[in-house]
Order: sequence, then structure tokens, then C-alpha cells
Amino acid sequence: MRSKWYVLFSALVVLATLLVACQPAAEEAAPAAEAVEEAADAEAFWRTSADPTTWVETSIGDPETLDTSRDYETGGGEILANVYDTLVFMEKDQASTFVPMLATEVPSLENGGISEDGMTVTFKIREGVKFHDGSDMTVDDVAFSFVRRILAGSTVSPQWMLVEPLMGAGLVDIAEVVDPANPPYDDQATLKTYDAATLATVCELVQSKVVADAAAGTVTFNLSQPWAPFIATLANGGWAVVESKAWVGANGGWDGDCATWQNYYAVPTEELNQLGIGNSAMGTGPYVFDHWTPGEEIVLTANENYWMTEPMWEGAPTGAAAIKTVVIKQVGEFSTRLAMAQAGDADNILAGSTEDWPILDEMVGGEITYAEYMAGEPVVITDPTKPFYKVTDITFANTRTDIGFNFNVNVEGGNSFIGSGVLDGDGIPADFFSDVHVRRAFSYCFDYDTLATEVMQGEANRAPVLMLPGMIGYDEEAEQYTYDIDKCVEELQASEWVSEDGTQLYDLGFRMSAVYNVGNTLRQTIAELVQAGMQEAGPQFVVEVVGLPWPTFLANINAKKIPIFIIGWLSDYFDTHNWTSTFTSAYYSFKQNFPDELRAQFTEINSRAVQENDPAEREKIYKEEFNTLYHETAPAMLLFTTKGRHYAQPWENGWYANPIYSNKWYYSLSKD
Amino acid sequence: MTQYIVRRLLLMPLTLIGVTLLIFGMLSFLSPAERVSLYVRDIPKNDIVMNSLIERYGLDDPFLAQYWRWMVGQKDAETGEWAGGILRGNFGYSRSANQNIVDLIKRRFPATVELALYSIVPLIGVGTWLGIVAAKNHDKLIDQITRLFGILGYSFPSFVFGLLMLMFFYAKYQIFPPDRLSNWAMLVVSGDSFTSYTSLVTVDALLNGRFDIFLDALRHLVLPIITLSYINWALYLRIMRSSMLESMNQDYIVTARAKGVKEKDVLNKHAKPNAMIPIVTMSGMTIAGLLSGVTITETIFIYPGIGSAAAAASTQLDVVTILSLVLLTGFILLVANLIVDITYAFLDPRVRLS
Repeated sequence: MRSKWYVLFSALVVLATLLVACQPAAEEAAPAAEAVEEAADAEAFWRTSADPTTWVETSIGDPETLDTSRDYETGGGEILANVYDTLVFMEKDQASTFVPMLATEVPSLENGGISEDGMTVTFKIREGVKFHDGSDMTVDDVAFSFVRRILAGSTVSPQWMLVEPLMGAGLVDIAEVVDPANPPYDDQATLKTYDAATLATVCELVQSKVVADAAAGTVTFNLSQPWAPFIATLANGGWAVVESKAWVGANGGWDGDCATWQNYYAVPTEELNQLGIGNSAMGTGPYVFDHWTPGEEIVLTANENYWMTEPMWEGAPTGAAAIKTVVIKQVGEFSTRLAMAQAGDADNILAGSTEDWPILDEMVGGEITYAEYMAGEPVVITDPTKPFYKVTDITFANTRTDIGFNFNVNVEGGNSFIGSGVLDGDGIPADFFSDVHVRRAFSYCFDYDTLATEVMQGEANRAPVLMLPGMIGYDEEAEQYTYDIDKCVEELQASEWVSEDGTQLYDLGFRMSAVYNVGNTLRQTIAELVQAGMQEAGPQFVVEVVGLPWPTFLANINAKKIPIFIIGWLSDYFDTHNWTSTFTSAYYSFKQNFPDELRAQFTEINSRAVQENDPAEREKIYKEEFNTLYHETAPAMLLFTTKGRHYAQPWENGWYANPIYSNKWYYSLSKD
Repeated sequence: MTQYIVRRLLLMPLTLIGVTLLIFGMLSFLSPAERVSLYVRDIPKNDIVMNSLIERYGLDDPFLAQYWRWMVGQKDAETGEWAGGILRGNFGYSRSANQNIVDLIKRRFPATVELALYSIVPLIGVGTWLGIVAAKNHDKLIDQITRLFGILGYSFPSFVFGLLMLMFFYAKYQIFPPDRLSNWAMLVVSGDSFTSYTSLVTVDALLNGRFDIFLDALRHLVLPIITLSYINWALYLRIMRSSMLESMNQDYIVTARAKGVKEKDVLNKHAKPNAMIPIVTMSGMTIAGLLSGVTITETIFIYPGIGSAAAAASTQLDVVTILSLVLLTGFILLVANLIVDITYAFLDPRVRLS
């Protein structure tokens, strides 16, 4: 009896499974005529939101802090951009065209805002602007905001962007001004040991760099040298916003007294977040900070008394924001974010990476290119039953991933990533990549097209030069490396590396590791393509792909032990200097252990270019000198910028792509 | 009995110290650079920052010195005041959660408790009931269906079942949403007009006279409860079923039946109480597990409990937070174990004698 039931049930289960499996797919079952009919009914696609005045944004990044002097990531940057205002702003989606915001005009040589020698930049400050607490914004508040942030310092803050133009090119932190010989970086305790007079002098020096003139209603920045990207630097980011001196002082921040600034230097983030300046925000912006529940949500409400009466550009909003409440929810799981968007409870559709695009494409019922979207063309509806539409071919980019060579890896305590550590066919020497022929060989042995088509799904633009499209010096015609095994072999044969017994590199081969952090599939694929490319050049060239957990990966990167590694950058401001300096004079030049001579060559060019206020001359320097040197010396393999996509709910209005925004500027959005 | 309870209570702190030593020791296998990686961004000068952090927090110190500092804190050379130390109630700052760990636990633990409270009855009650039904209908159709139903649930990984629930009941039909509250309710609860008495939203909603918020909170609890219950029912079903079948084959059941006791009384008064003993043991562990946070369920349903905080801390290698949450979990398990043992002792006198 028992076995009979068992057989019956098993048969039923198998039958049910087969029925489900054999059921034709919905698309196959639907007649073509019906699909056409559905497509014609485009109106049905434009569903409205259940709550047209609340915007729910799903996010995967909680702010690190809301202190404007410390925050240097997009999670916090988004909040600061909506709660505070800057002196100037970017014109809609144009990252390098500026319009006045808290200033009444954008300083220029023509209007006298920038001096003839380029050493002073004066902003006329708007009158009648009020902070959210009802107090008036004054020129003193403007000057104080910048002085406080520079003095708050910390090498993990974005203040280097102000320190460099104001205190001197090459400087990154106020600690270097206090003690150029032995800067007490991020060390408040040591800073406090300096005599009071020295510290007060440094404070006064900073104050002399940002001067408020109440009578004239201006704030003047006295630069240490002409600085072409200075206006761009002030158009975005926590480092550029205006805050209330009184509010900062009352919420645990520095109150402007030069005798005490050292007590507020490099305060750890965990301490800042116990204070009002770290866990809340109060500015003049279109949104008022309501609350932040870490790990859960941040809520902003519309500033009903927002000062903006004239649109910043044609079609820009004025008055109070149309979206009255913004709820930014932390939702780490992509499937949950997608479910929220499908249910209409989330107003954005946030992919985890481009790997999620195919899943989202299944839910797209309309499509339009970004150029058509911005021209006001209608979205082409293909399936009104599907929930989202997508905007494609967004060519603006503010980030890129490349491959950097370490010119001289650290072998202290051993280094497992370079095999035997000598050129014997089973390893590489520490300074293997100091040979330009080796760097060029790797650049020729990389299958760029496979990366673009298979990993980036064909939606990628190859980077011909270091700077991004739209930046000064960008040159699509510039010479670039392509996947060419013959040239790769030629370069390997031209290498000066020989073993102890005189065997040349090409005949001997090598073994080394390409390292990525586990879970990052893009980095893994890039490492695998490096491996495959070198194998194409010859079986003697062995690149082992090694995945490391993030902490171990980071520890090895910091120890400069990894010979070839992924390097990436996200623009802080939209200017070439942010890339050329970072990659060849500062950060990556040290990470990659550039030889001093090479760094000096690049730094000389970078320094001249950044101080050149004539855009045509500046462009010439970048195109003719920088790009040529970068190609010839090949310190990194330049890969691709991704063409952006934007998946949207049908009720979204007012969105545009500005590559420098930290996610969204909610003031421009509305729902219907 | 009192002596038994006192003895167990006295052993608890020692066990907890053992737990802390074990977990602290395991995490100390990570290099100092790995342990500070969460605090170092990919920025210029991060070598300096990393070394400065290692020095500031003494991560290069001997293991016992670090352990002692974590337990009792450190005396400030200038002020003479003690800072830190979990024995002083200072568990440190959670970088992954951006708040003090004490605040994190205060905020997240009630959410986990609330989920556990509402899950206990459907999870244990229904699972046990299914076991009884299966046992009563041994080898009949209903037994087979029940077992198949249970096995199907047990076969589902919780993240798969949870996502299926989410896609069907939320994405498609918008009946049961994730999270703890809807946005409108969250705004009310976080406002000044709403008083938090217990941090349990359903209870606070009733105490504030907001039945609408109470219902909203219940709606949000449905999917996590179903997910937690369904994937665990098979266990309870199987244990209760076999335990019941074993009891029903005992001599005292045969005797009861021979004496003409009604079948209903045979089952409820004789078989069931004895069959419940393994269920009590398992329930204790289940409740402890629920109170420690159900990581996957909380993550999928963005339920802001201890489990999702632990998941975030683990993926970011937030050592300080992991240590504290493991300690909390250890404490809950010990208490649950104690309660189970005491209950067991009441149910089975042989435990007291031993």
C-alpha cells in the first residue's frame, strides 16, 4: 500500500515537472499580431507613481560621514550636494560649463573675477540667501567654510584639492605647511605639540588665502600659483559647499578661533559621526536634512523657502523642489532592489554592475538614446506591459579601469607574486617593468576587443589617452596600443632583460602573478586576458591569475608587492589635471613606483599645463607633450570607459546625466 | 534543582570568556594590515594612514595585551581616565554600520526580537503540528503529502525561497512588502509625535494608538516569517513525527489502549507529552538562532535586524563589530541552552538526578 502511494506521488511530481518544463515560453506563445497591438498601445506604458511627491532611491552605499571636511565618497556626496549649495554649479549635464549658484557670476578674466596673472579668483556672493535654520548666509560663512575644511585636514579627506592650489602645488595636507620637513600627517596628538605661535601662523596663512569682504560682498581666493581647474574644483563636492559658521561651531566643529584649530585636525570619522557635523547637515540647498538611520535610510525634505528664483539654465527648476520627500534606502541585494522597482516602491533601478544589464533588459518596454532623450524625442515603446524604459549610449564618463605596472615591486619579507624573483624562466626580477619594452609588450598582448564585447557587452569606448572624453587634451586620434601579438613578440625580443647566463627574455620566458580581489569579476577577467595574451606570445610566458580576499589584496597593494594590478579613478572634478596629476605625478606614480626621472618628466608637463589659463595653449601641452610621453613610456594599459545606461520608471521626469554628480540632484526631478 | 541552575549560571561567564578568547584569537590570525583595511581608502598617503592606525590601536601588540585592552579598556596617560573595554560597556565603533556598537545593538536587536517573536508560533507550532498530523496518519496519503511538503521546504536554500516569495508576493502582486515599515509609516515612527516605548514597532504602534502602523508592520513581517518557517518545518515535522511514532509504539500506549482510553486521549495525554521532549531541545536552539539574527532572510527582506548588520560587518571584515556580535550570539545561545536544560529538567526528572 505504502509503495503504491509513493509511486503515485512520484509520478505526479514528475508529470507536473514535465508539464512546467514543456510549457512553451510566453514569448513563443504570443502571436506576433498581438505583440504589435500591444506595442501600439504605448500610452499604457506611462504608468504614474502612487506617491508623486516622494522619491524613494535604493542605494548600496551609506555615507561614511556627513562632515563636509571629511566626506570623500558618493554616498555622502549625494546628501551634501542636495542639502548644501556651491558657489558655482555645472550647467545641466555639462560637467565643464559652469553657472553661478551662491555666487552671482562665474569669475573669469573677462569679468575681472580672475586676475590677469591668474593668482586671485573673486566671487561676488549672492545676497538674501538663508540657511535652513533661518539665518542669513554671509560672506564670512563662505570664507569660513573653506578655511575650516583646509585646517580640518586629514589625508583621507578631499582637502588636497584645495590645499594644492591655495597652499602650493604638490601639497596635499595642511600638516605639510606646519612642518614641511616632517609633516605630522593625520596625527593630531603630534600636531598639538608644535608651539602655539607656529600653529596660529598657519591658521592665519590659510585665512589670508580665502578673504571675505563684507562691504563688497565678495570672497577672494589667493592662489599660490595660477590654477586652471580651480573653478571646476569649486563646482561640486563637500569640499566646495558653503556651511554656516555658527551651526558648525554649535555642532562640534571648529568655531574659527586660530588658537584651537589643531583640536579639530584629522578627527577620526567615528568621532565626527558622534557630532552634529558628522551625523547631520544644514545648508542653504534645495533639501533639508531630516534624519539618517545608518544602514537603513536617509530622509530629506524639500526646503520650502529655497532661495532660487531664477533658473540656472533654461528649463532649470526654481522655488521649492517638486519632490517633497527623498528617502534614500540602503538595499544591498540587487534582487530586492529590483523587486522594489517592479512593485513601484523604488523610483530608481539600480544595477549592481553591467552584469545585471541583461536581467534589466528583460523588463524594458521602451528605449531611447541619450542624445534623443535630451533632444526631447519620445521614448520608443516596444512592450507596454513591461515596467521600465532605458536610456542608452550615455557617453559621459567620470571613471575608468586600467592596468598599471609596478616599476619596482617590494620584495621585503618575500614576494610570492614574482616567482623566483630573478629572470630564470621561473620568475621576474623586482624591477621587471622598469623596461619600457616589457610594458609595451604587455600593452600589445592584451585582447582589448574581447574585454569590450564579452565583458562590457559592446558598450564601451576605448581610451586613446589618459584623460576622459570631453576633457581638455582628449584626442581620439592619438596613437594607442592594439592587440597585436607580432608587435608584442617584437617588444619582448627588444627587451634588455637577460638572465645570468646571457639568455634573452624572449627565449627564457617568465612566471609572475596577475592579482585581483575575489568577487570582482571585471578585474578577474582582465587578469585572465593578460594571462591569455602572454600565452599567445609564447608558452614560456606564464602569468598566474591569483584571487585574493579584499583585505589581503589591499594590504599587498599598499605594500607595493603586486607587479601588475588594476588601477582606476573616479573624477573628483571634471578636469584633465585630476587624471594626469593622479596618474603620473602623485598617487599612482607612487603606487607604481615610477622612477624619479619619469615622474619628474610628467610633473614638469603637468605643472605647466595646470598653470596655463589659456585653454588653447593648455590643450596643446596635453596633446603634444603629455599624450605622446604617456604613449611612449606606457606606464599603464589604458582600457575602456563604459557607455552609460539609465533604467527608469515611466513616471520619472527631469533626469539627465552629469558625470560629476554623486548620483542624483533631486531638485531637478519630478514624477507624474 | 536550584543548585543545578546556580551551577549553570556560574559557568556562564567562564564560557563567555572562552568564547571571547576563541573568536579574538581567530581574528588575530589576520595581519594588522588586514584588520585595518576597512579604515583605509584607496587614497594618496594611505600607507601612512595604515601604519598610523596600526600604531594607534596597538594592532602590533602581543595577543594578550590586545585582548586585555579589548576587555577592560585603556587608561589615558594624560587624563587618567579609562577608555573602551567591553567590561565597561564600550564595545567600540562599527565602521560598517557607522555608529557605536551599543547603539547598533540597541536599534537592531529589538527588530530581530520582534521577528523572532512572531516567527516562533508558525515555525515551531506549525512544524510540530505537521509532525503530529503525519504521525497520526502514518503511511496514509496525508502523511505522504505532509512529508513531501516539508522536504520541499527543507530543500530550498533560504535565499532562493525568500527571493521567490519576494518576486511573487511583492514584485508581482504588491501584497507583502520587504523592510520593516512602509515609507509613510517610517516617517511617522521617526517623527517626534511617535513615542518608542519598547522599540518593537508592532507593540509601540498599539501603545501609540496607531493601528494602521501596527497592520503595516505585520504586513512587512509576513514574508520573512513564511521564509523562516517553511525552510524549517521539515525538521520539526520529521522529529515530531518519528518521536510520536516511537511513543505510540511504547508499552504504556498499548496499555492505555487496552484499558479502553479514547484514541484522542491516548495521543494528547500519553503520546504527545513524551514526544515533545526533543522538540523542546530543538526549540531552544531555534529561538536562539532567531534571536542571533537570521542573516540571509534579513538581508533579502532588508529587515534591519542583527543578522543583516552581521552580514555587512562580515563582508567588510569589520573586526570590532564581528567580535561584539559574536559575543552577543554566544550570550544568547548560552542563555537559551540554560533555559532548555532547565525545561528539560522539569520534563525529565532523570536530568535533575544526574
